[in-house]
Amino acid sequence: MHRGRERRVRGSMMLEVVMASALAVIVLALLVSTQIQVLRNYQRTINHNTANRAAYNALREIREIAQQAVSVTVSGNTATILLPQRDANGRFRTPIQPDTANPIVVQVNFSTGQLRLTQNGQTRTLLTNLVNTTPQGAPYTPFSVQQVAQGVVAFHVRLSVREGQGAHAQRMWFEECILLRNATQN
Amino acid sequence: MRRHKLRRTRGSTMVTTLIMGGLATVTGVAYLDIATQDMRTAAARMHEVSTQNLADGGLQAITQDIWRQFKIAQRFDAIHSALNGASPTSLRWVRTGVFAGVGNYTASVIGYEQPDSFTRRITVRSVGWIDRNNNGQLDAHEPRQVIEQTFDLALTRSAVFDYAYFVNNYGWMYGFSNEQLVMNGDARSNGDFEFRYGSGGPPVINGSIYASPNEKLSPRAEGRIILPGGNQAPRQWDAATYATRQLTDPMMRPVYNSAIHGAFGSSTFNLWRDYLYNPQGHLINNSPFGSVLADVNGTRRFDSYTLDNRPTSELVLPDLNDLNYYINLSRTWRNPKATFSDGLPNPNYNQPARIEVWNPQQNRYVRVDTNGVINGSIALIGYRDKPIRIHGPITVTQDVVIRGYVEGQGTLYAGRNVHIVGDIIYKNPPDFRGSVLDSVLALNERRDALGLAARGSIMMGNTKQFGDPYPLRYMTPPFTRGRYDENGNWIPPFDARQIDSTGRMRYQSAYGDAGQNEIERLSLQIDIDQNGVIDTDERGISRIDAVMFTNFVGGGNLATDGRGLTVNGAIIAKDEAMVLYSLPLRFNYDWRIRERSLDDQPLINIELPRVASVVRLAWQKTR
Repeated sequence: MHRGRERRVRGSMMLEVVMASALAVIVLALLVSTQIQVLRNYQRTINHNTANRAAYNALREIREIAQQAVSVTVSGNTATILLPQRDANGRFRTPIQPDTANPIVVQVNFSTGQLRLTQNGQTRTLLTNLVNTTPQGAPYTPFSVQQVAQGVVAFHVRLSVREGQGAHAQRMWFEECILLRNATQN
Repeated sequence: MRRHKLRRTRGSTMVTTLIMGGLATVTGVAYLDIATQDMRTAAARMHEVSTQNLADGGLQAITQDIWRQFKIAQRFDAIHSALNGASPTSLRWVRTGVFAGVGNYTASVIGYEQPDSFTRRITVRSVGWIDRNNNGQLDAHEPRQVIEQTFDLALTRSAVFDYAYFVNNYGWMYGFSNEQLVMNGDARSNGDFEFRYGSGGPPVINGSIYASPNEKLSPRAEGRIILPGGNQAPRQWDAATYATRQLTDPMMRPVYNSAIHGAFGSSTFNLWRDYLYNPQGHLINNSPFGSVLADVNGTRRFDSYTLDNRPTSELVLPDLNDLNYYINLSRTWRNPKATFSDGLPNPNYNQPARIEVWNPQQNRYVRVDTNGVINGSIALIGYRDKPIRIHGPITVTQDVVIRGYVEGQGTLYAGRNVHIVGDIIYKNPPDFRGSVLDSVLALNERRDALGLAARGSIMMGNTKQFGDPYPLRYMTPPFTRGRYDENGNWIPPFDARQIDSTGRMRYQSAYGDAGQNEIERLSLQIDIDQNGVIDTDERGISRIDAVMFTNFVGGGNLATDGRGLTVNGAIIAKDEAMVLYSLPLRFNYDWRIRERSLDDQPLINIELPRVASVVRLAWQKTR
């Protein structure tokens, strides 16, 4: 009786250990899988947020410039913005005259995926991961200018941004309409 | 051994729990970081957008406030008192506002300049901020944006003078057919514009027709051109017909001919475009050229083809209320034109305003003004060989009674009414025929031009014979209509039978006797030709060579001599009540007063009333 019980105890322990280990492996596998998924989602969210913030900051910079502009001319994927001439204190001269000597150039290069801004002879990259199709896959033009009425000119900026480096990464669409506050009135 | 095994099993569970707990913590912290980062970004965006909109709102509030005051007064006096001395450290016209749940703005005038006597340059600064601690003050840590805007308030030539017929109310053309009405020029109303054709179909409008939405009219005007017969547009002459007619009527504006006036958009075309008639409307450089119908529904050709979907808007009518302004203008005015467009000197350069009339009793010309001003009322009669001679702006403090021939260039401002009691004819009328622009300009720049501007009304015809219905029914309510001013105050409709401060009804002249016998004598018994015979043409009004402007009614009994009426110039009125006793009625717009869009200059500046305008100059973010 005693031996038999001993053997039974030993046997049951072995089985318990095997089952517990199997369960532990399954649970750990599930946990690791979930964690990997969580990390992937985390990375995706990070990518999304990064792209979102970068695009927002780029658009903000363009908006800050363009809304004070006298004129914007668009040629292909390049927009040339003319701000008003300033006096020694940095205030715009009146009546407004375009500062043709210091144009600001905003350029989209789809082959490098960059949005670049050239001001006072210096070029900066405002945004990377630009793509030449919308999230729906249609081609688009990043810049256009519309004369809405006499003295009312709107500068449209459209950007399709890839979330991260992967070729199949999701794309986000940004569109902004900027009113030129110093547009010529006639 | 068994105890040891048990201990190891317990240890792995704990490690697993610790790992899981650690992972959960890391994940939670990461999630919180992502979530709060997004929230921080979103909050920053919200503040940025909100503060700019708040600052823009403040800018709009103060700009609109200043503009509304100026638009009503049409003078700089009040603006000057309030803003003179403004600087960034000495704020003027401070306005604050709170948008509950959004933020605050504070806007004020920080700059005031006087570039010239007709312009004031104003700089306003507006701060939009989020009042986080709700103390009503802008504190150091609170998000904000600062915007400055510079704009000009100016007294400029009014666009109402671009039209042969302009009514600051509902416009109406009733009962005309075919060539009973021929309008060679554009017509516009600051309200609906209604046509009711006579039995022979539509009349001839060789120009554009405009109507405008107007909330200030009562009832409010939708701003439609109302055409009868299923929206049947008026007739027009084609280019060939028009050109043929112009051969015998030199005061018609020219018709567009690409061989003479250049292709659309060319430099030659741009020089001519403001002076031309074209039967078909086009949109060139975003503005219409040629004949169009424009109203709340947009701009379309006479054949209903839509050119532009944008609705029209009201034009501001100049206000002559401040007669002292015109008295001062007349006293200080000196002819500013040193040379004509062909380079030849102007003999009247730097000469003051003056007016002379022939006195048959004294057999000589008599100057009737003192430094450009006439106190009280006056009758001005110009004989065919002894015309009224005018130079510059003349202000008459009460009524002007006028008829006959006129020579020179100038405007008569009347403190009350202008009474036209017979034909007004230029001694040297313009001739708009010709294919060489410089020659046409040089010739017509020297020809006669008369402006008649009344603070009261322009009454035409023998007021002694005015009755009901003609023309008084059209000068009294309910035909005339009231309106609201810019501040929403009710301005009652014009009532010609109302007695004013002179003790006479508003349609009657203050000149002569109360019974209007003197007006009747001046209407019927003046031998303008001085040939010893007063013929039919000298007993009615069949021709008016003048640009007429009135703050109230322009109308009366016309063409009573059976010869129809031709207006070579323009009529601009709040209400129009012209009753024709014979036909046709013809308008020939005098384009010499129109500002050319290329240089904003009219060929002849006869100091027509100016209107308040605002021009935005610069918008700048300063922080």
